[in-house]
Amino acid sequence: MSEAPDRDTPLFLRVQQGDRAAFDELMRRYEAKVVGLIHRYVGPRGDAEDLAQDVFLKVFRARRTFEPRARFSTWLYRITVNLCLNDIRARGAARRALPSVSHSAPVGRDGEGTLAPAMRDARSGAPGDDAAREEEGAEVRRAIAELPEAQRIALVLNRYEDMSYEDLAEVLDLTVPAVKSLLFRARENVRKTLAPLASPERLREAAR
Amino acid sequence: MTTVPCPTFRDAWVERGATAPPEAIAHAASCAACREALHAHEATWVALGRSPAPPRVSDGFRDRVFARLEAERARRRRFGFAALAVAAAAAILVAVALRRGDETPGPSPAAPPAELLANLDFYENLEFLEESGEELDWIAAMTTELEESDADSGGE
Repeated sequence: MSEAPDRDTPLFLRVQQGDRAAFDELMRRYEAKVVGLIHRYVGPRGDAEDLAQDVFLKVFRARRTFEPRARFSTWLYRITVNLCLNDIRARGAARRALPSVSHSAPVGRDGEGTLAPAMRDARSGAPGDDAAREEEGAEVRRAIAELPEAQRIALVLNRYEDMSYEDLAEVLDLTVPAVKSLLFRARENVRKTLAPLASPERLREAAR
Repeated sequence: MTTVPCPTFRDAWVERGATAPPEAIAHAASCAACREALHAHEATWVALGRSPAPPRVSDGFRDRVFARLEAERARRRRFGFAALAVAAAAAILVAVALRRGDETPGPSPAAPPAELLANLDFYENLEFLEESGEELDWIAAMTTELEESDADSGGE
């Protein structure tokens, strides 16, 4: 989370008084984060913005229950996670609709201990055409979607929202050790799922 | 991973993402299991970075939220007024019956309209009462007028 609490809380106190401009500014700050979180957690669906609208409506309706001692961003993420969970459970098919990916594949490694040349970070300058990148992205997205709900949201918040253990514990209503354990298991599962990308066949394909 | 890494450094790798703390890197230099685990976790962190970026928020997103808030407020006012009108009508009927001293039971209060019952979620937040000051004033005035009219006619 990049927003400091002292920037958001005074603004939200104005929202509590019915200040429309303050609510507009708060939404401007967080709309991309909320839509991004929904997109990564619930899945790439066309209605991520609809769910994001529901989040901000909920925030506005519940504005009087917010206590200034809490961080606004943590409260917002908690509402977002709860609405996502409700949505996932109501639809029931979000994960079932995804192709299954084997969890039992061996861990593949290239000579440098990474998954595969094509999977390296962009910082390495590894070239790759659009189709390959798209495929890699889809593999990663599937690996995340395959995770159990709790692991998935912990990983998404930690990796993509840069959320600390402490904030994660507050958002997910868990202890810090439980969050650490959740994240470790999530990473292990993702690693196993992505291992086929570094299989000898894939390495040969990447070399062609 | 074929061997189990030392638990001391496990959390450090998870916490720091692709950037392991120096003490973990130093330890990994002499521990094969931790070196393997460290590389695997770094690779996973990096691989996760290849996830496609979420879509941009479309123009007018906030306007749509405000539009929904306004629509919700309008509905709440409408249903709030209906609820108050029903309550006021029931109160007037009871008041008239008591004033007449009628020994026969007065009419029971009207049942809430089905539309109200189907939208009870609107009433979990009683904000509409704050916004219904004018309606309340109007109902109070109407009640007083009816009572005065009733008194003028001798309670017949």
